Amino acid sequence: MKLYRFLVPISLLLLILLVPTRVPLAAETASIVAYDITVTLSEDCTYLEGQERVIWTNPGSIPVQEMYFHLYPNAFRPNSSFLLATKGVRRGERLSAAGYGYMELRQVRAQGRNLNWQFVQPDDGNQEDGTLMRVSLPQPVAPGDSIRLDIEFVVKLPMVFARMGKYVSFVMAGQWFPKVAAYETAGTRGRQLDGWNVHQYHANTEFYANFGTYRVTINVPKTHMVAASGQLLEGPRIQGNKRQYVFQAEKVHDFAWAADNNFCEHQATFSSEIQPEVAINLYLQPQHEYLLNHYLQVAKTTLDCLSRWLVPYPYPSLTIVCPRAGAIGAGGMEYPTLITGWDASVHDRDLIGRVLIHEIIHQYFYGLVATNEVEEAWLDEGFTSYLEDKIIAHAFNGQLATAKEATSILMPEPLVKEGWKYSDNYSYQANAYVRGKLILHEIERLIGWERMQTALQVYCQRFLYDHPSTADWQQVLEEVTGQSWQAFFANYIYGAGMQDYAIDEVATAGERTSVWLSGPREERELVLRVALADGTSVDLVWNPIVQSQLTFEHSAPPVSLELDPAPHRVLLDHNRSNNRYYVKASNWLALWLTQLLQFCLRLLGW
Amino acid sequence: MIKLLRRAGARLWASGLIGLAVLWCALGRVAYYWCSRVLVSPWRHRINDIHHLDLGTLRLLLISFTQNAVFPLLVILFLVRLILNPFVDAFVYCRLGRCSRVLWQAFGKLYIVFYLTIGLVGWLLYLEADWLLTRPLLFVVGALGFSLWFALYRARLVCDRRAWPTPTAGLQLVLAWLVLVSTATTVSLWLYKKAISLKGWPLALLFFVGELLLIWIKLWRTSCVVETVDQEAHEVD
Repeated sequence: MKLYRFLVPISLLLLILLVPTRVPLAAETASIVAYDITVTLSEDCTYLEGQERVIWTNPGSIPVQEMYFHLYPNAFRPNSSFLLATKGVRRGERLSAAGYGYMELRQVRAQGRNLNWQFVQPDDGNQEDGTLMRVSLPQPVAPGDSIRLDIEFVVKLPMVFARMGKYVSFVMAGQWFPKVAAYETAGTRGRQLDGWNVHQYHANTEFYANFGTYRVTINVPKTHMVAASGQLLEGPRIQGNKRQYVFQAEKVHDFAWAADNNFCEHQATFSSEIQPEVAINLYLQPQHEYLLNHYLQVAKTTLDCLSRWLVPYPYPSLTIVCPRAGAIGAGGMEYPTLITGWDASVHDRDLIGRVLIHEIIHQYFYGLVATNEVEEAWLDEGFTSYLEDKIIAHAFNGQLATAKEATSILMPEPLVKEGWKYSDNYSYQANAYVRGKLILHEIERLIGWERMQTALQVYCQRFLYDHPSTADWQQVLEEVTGQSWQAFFANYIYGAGMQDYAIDEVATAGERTSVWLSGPREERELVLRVALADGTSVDLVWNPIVQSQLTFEHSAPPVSLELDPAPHRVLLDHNRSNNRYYVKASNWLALWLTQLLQFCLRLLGW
Repeated sequence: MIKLLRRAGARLWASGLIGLAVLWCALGRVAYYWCSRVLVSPWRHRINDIHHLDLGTLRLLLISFTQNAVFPLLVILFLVRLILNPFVDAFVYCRLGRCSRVLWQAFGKLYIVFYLTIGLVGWLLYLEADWLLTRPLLFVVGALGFSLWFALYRARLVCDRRAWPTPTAGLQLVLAWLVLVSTATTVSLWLYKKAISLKGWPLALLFFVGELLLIWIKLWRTSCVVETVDQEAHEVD
């Protein structure tokens, strides 16, 4: 009996310990800013009118005399740095003058008085760019102290373009409120002194902010339904011709919402032995209703993989929004606890699935591990694209062509680089997304998936609700693998290193052939496949560190040679043409090119 | 349509343009074939399949072309051909239209406008590249329609009477053009297929004869337009 009396409480204790629990949401240092915003969407869905109360706490060790705010909607004003760089074209859409947007501040007050503020342009000095504002505070905010600001603002929504705006009755409110810029304390991302990390809004860059809490009251035309970050606290309730919602989100660094009179709302839940229950809120367009199960399956599978590989998803909900057909500018975007899929005009299940997977992974690499997307975009886009590949291969049996993707990297550039400084948008994407993920695939190839997963898990756990840098990731990798990654990072991440291996020359004399090879002198064993005239082939092994020439004997003369044939082991070889060598020169290209030249010339005349 | 092709063929033969065709194709074919061989030569051990031309390889090809010493020569030849175009055009149209004198000036001015328009349209298409990519058929049809209109315009310059073709004649002309364009495409593809297995003099001969045939087809197309406009003018009488 005595044993029985002990068994009951012990069993209960065990049960409590075994039942999955959320990662605690309250790490005190992470919450720096608290917003209480009331916003009203006009009946024609064109204007947002808002009142924002923001309480900012100085997390550093020195007094702060001024604050910075992002006014992102001003990116859609004529001559903004964003519009000048994009020429008003994004994702194949053009922003016409009628579709411009802006944010107007009616007042900025603190301690009962109006504050002085001005636009600043630390990145490019473009005086017409109004995406960053400096506010002079009435008195310095001492370390640990807080200041309360009251801001009244109006936003004219642009036509849906680059993540925000309106399209018919659909509204995507992302980066829609005056948002406090990121304040970094000494030590964060290798910073020497406390200070603001401020940048304008650029064509290639996304966002970076401190964690905080949000309470947002949203009034929309009563015909509309709202999907938002966080959880619904109150409503919806009808007030006159408006429908009111109150949302709350904690431990997030942004808040977004969408509204439409067309949404079809669905709810589901997901949990597993390690993942506490997550409510999945789906806001689909009628054209995508038939894909409901696909959306749910993809979302649940992705959450399952991520909770196992990294850490359980800590928020109680995940909201998925499908933008109205044609509102592609709002599609494929991540916000804390809210993502947008591809717009409803797309019916390609693979594409829809891939985008959902990508954006859900961003809940970790961007949402929870809140890296600086402006200065080190690869830490969210590269990591997300890498895990997207892993999930597609692991859970959806997808075929990857990672090595082939390397050929799209036309201009390798360092990964630690401000987004707007890349040569162009293509280069930004090819580097931050493709080169970034291929480097992670390469790391996995070198250390194996198990250790890679451990490294990712440690990185996630250590920097949950924090702002790590590339150096932090390197440190985690070194701890997990017990080796230095200095040279690797210097070459591939801080540098623009690739792995261009080549067959330089082939010389055959009788029954002996010599092959001269070149490429990065790294420890690896590469296959050189030689096709012989008798239809057979021979695989030779080449180690770039040991030799630069291979000589072999053969019974039949070689016809062609290929270094690192499929399945490719070198992932960062962006010039595969020099991996092939045809002993007998081909006429194909010369003829093809001549025909092409003649055709082009004939188009213009004789 | 058959009648039109026959009459246009007779007009072309009577014009004696065969000499120009031979000269022009000798200039174009030999020069460009030689240039492309020199430029492409280093790649002939690397590429022998269309699948090898991925994005990265195409970019490397372009870079290696622009760095090759022969590349400027190719650009010069291209420009020479562009400059000669209006003169050849004026000569061809005037011969076919049986003009008493060649309208060098009129064609020169016309080509200045034409090149400027092409440049402007090209620039607009570059700015709206997505528009072009999403509507390739519309672009092709538009380009063909423009070429037909441009040919008719030039034919009217060299003919005595200036009337646009009636719908029936226009339809016959379009059909004749389609027959000739498809013939030229078929000949090009056949040439290409044959050329891969040849080398040396047989290859050069094949190219020369093939090119001559293609130019002849193009002249025939032009003759069809002149014939239509000329015929229309007489029918208006």
